Amino acid sequence: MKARTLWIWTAVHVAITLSVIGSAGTSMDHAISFGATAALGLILLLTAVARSRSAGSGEIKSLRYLVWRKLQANRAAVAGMVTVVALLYVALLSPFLAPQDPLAINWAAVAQPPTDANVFGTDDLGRDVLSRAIFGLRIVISVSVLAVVVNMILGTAFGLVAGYYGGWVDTVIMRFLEMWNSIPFILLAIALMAALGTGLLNLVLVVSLSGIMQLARLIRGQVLGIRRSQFVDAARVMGVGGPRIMLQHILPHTIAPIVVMSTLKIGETILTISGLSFLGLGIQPPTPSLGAMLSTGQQFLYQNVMMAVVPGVMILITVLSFNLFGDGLRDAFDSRLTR
Amino acid sequence: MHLVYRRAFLAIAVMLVTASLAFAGGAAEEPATTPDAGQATEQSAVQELRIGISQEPANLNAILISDLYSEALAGNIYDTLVSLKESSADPQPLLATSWEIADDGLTYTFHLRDDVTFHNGEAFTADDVQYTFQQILNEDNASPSAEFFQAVEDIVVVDDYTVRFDLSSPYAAFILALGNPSAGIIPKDTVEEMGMQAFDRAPVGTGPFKFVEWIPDDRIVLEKNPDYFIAVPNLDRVVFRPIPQSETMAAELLSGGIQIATNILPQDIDRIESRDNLSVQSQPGLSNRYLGFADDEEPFSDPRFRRAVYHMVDIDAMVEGIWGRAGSRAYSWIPPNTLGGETDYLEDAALSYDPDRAQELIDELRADGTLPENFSFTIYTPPDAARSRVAQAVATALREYGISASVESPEFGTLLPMLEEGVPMYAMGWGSVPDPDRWTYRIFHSTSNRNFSNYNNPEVDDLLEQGRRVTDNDARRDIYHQIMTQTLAVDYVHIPLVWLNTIVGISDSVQDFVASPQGYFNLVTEARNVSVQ
Amino acid sequence: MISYILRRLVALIPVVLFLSLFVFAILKLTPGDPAAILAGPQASADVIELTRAKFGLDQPWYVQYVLMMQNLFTGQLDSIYYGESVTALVLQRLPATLELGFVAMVIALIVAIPAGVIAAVRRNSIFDYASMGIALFGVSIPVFFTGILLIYVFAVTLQWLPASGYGGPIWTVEGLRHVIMPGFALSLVLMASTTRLTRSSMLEVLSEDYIRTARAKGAGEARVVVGHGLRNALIPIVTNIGNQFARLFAGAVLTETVFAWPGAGRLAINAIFRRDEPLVFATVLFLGLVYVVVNLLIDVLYTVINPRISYE
Repeated sequence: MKARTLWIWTAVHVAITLSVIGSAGTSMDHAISFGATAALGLILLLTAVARSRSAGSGEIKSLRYLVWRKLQANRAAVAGMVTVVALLYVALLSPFLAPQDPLAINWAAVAQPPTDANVFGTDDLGRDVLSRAIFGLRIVISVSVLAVVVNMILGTAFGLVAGYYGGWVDTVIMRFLEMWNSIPFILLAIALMAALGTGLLNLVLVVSLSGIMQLARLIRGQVLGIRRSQFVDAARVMGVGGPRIMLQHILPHTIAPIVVMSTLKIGETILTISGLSFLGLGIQPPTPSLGAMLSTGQQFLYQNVMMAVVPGVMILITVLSFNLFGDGLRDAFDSRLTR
Repeated sequence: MHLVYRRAFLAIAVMLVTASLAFAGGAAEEPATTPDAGQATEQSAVQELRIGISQEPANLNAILISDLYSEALAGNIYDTLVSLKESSADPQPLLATSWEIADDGLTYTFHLRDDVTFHNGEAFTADDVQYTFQQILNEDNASPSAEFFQAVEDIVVVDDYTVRFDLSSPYAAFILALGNPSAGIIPKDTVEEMGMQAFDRAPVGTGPFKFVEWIPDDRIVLEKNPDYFIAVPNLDRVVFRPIPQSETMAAELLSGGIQIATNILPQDIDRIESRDNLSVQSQPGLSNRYLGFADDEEPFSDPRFRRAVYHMVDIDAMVEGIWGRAGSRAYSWIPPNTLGGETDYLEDAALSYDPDRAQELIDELRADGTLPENFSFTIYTPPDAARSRVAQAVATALREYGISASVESPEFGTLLPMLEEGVPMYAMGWGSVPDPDRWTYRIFHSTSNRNFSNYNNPEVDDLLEQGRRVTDNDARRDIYHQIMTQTLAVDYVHIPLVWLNTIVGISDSVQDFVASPQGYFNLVTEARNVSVQ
Repeated sequence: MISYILRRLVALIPVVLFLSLFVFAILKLTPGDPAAILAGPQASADVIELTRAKFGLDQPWYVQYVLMMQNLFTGQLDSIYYGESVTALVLQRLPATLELGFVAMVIALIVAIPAGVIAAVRRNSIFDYASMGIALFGVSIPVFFTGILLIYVFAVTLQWLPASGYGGPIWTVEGLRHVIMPGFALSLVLMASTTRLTRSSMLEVLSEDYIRTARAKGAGEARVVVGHGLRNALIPIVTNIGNQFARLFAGAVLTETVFAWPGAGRLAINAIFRRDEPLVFATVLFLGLVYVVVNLLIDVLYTVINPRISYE
């Protein structure tokens, strides 16, 4: 990314943050948001400074730059990316954006249609639908991102090790993953969630266990391609250990498929989490969750249709924009491997 | 053939083979007979009633019935000695024409009908009655009903049509136990011939309908028993369809796919009533919801903590908000219109919504160290939206007082063992027949596994045991009032929340149907014979 | 070839063993008690204990495992809840499951392949964007929500189709009417991935030399696209469909719940919720095997069709 873009982004970040953070609260949620925004701002600033200093050092030719340019030319992908960034900001700043306490119950106004006080009406416990949807986005995005990160780490590790060592290690890992893949995932998730209880950590764990094989296969293929290349051989001759070769010399060459797959995977994960919520196994109430809001909302279509529409649309937009962005990335990297 | 064609052809062939499996599989099955499911209006000679149920029964073998969903159906396949179908307070003759109870309450003699045959033609006699109750008490069967007949010492066949029960101690609720669908009479010879396990899958009774088939998750079909001794049923077929989603159930009723829908959501009642051809039957039922506290774990064991929670939540508003027309506020464990079910004395002792008072109590508990700072725990409920809402409301209220509570709703198979083990707080419910013993002993007696609070009060234990033995109504009423006062107004072990109404949505084409308070589908009784126009 | 198939079949044995052990471990290591469900919510401690004994749940886990495997392979494994043989229960579900999957697949193909082809031919046109947009849309809505909306529109409001349930085999009018809505809801995901795959596969094929040659020879556009293009683009599409079809068996859980469809997925989740251990064991094993076997079939067929692909 160019230094100028980074500077602009930093400025926008500060502007957004300052404009909403005025209504500072004292809760844990506020503190987390505040900390995360400040950290993000700092990172942006430092990167911008670093980029400015090293400006013009042949960056133009880098793969990253080429990908970025291709991505920019793809309008759908840009739209997806912008929406993803906007959603991430909403998630990050949700305690400041939500007009009301998402947990505050009001028995006098159960499942009311929209009013001035509640723009999208209230839910089955008289809570503000908009505020819950904003918080629900925060939760679902953080859970999915976390789950996808765990999933990527597992998949990459298996793929790297299998591809690098080959032989029986490869056979054992790939056979194991094939068996793992043969377990119908949704049933596995249901069994685990029904039995282990439905805490957030359990949810992350369970969701992150699906589809490890596709990524591992992909990474393994990549590794097989470069395992015998000169720079790897050189490193080995110099006595560099296996783990270090994998992490320092091979891993960087597998970043493209990892980035693409994880972006696409986030949308899928959000849908999986909603599906589990529908079966009563997702994020536990009273914590707001888009999937649970949607499945409750569809029982109240005639009282307050927004109870279903708002979380439904929120899920739709989030999944859609992650998918558009991911598709765009895939085209930009244009590696046949990642299809 | 061109190579590419061959590839595509073969690939498609894979699909076709798989697909043809579907047809083969379908053809292997008996031709499904579901006459015009979508078109209830079509007049035909066959009277078919389609009923939507929210969950499948666990078992249709009368003596193994363990849940309401099975009981709701079983009364149509089996008959009991006495009938409580029209009124639990007023037992009517059914398989027994008359009965005598000895003055000491230890001997019950039943005179049986001599004109009854089972669906398979086997004649009904006193041997079948004896066999049925022997099997209930036989430990190999692990019959859930066994506990209601523990007082039975001997079952004596006096003659072919007379049977006598000898009890070891008086048991006030004995007739109620005999009238429950889980005490339906099963045919001795048939069961002995096919074995108890096979009988589970091919139930045979004397009731108005014969069992035809049970296709799991799809339907249970009964057909009329033309020889039924009360009357020839008007209905030719009854189909029970398990429909897990309540939205889908309502949609089926609205679109005519079923004529009777159970599990109607409170918010849908008005909408269904407003339809020209549909109505909603709502009447006080026999099941409750309550909030329980652990009695063996601080701070939950401290009545001050329980009173604080009671003050924190606006229970009246909550019950109205969650159940609306589907329930009414409960104050006692004993159902209204049941012996001991009066509530005036408990209403006076009920605590009002009073956040200030709650804060005082919490401060007090914090001051003496009973309640630690930054205290957190989990409230458990079954996977049921209404009870989860109760727990959410309590958790949200506790948050205002600096206590963080989360809500977990595991499936029953996981939840029940946890509750037996003991959990800090839980929202549960109970359903039973209108006798105070059935609503108290299992809940509050220190030896009961359904005393989820692990409440242990010797005085209450003693009173509960007395309540089983005493037969005088006034004395019994007094005992149960004492139990209620101690548990709910002194110790606050539970906060009773609501009595649920039995609610069914019903098409106007169905004549003569009335839902029983327990939610049983009594289609043919001494007073009614349901039909479809 | 035959030795290859044999080797693949032998390789299934560890898969079955792994699956069975894994499922069994989940069942046994996690809290919950099937006897609690069977004995009912009001059961006394005695009854629960007796129920446990009646179904052999009080024996050590390894005895239970060996018994379960033994009974499964001799066809004597009975569902605790239904008291019926698990094999019979699973087979009973097969027609409904296959019909639903088949209808979903047919709907998806009828829409997706033409849409994908046209999108590829008219690349970057409105149609291209629209069909890709709709495809992404379809895959971004939770299926249970689509399901309820369909029920409200077509069953409650318009009263064209029955709201839920199984209406009999697919070739009867009632059976077909019942399967349309759940089939459509289930087809959306398949539709989306097939449309996208058809488009990209077509794009690739259309840039090949032989297409240019065909065009140069003056072949009609339709003939070039369908005759030369689609024909060659089909292989990856068919692979994807085969794969997804195997997954549909288990993946239809949500659709089956919304539409009260008596399929294998619902059998499995009800068994999980009721902790009907033998039935969970059998259904998961069955669904896993279906997946593995279908994949094996695809692989084997490819070797038959295409001698260039060889498996040693």
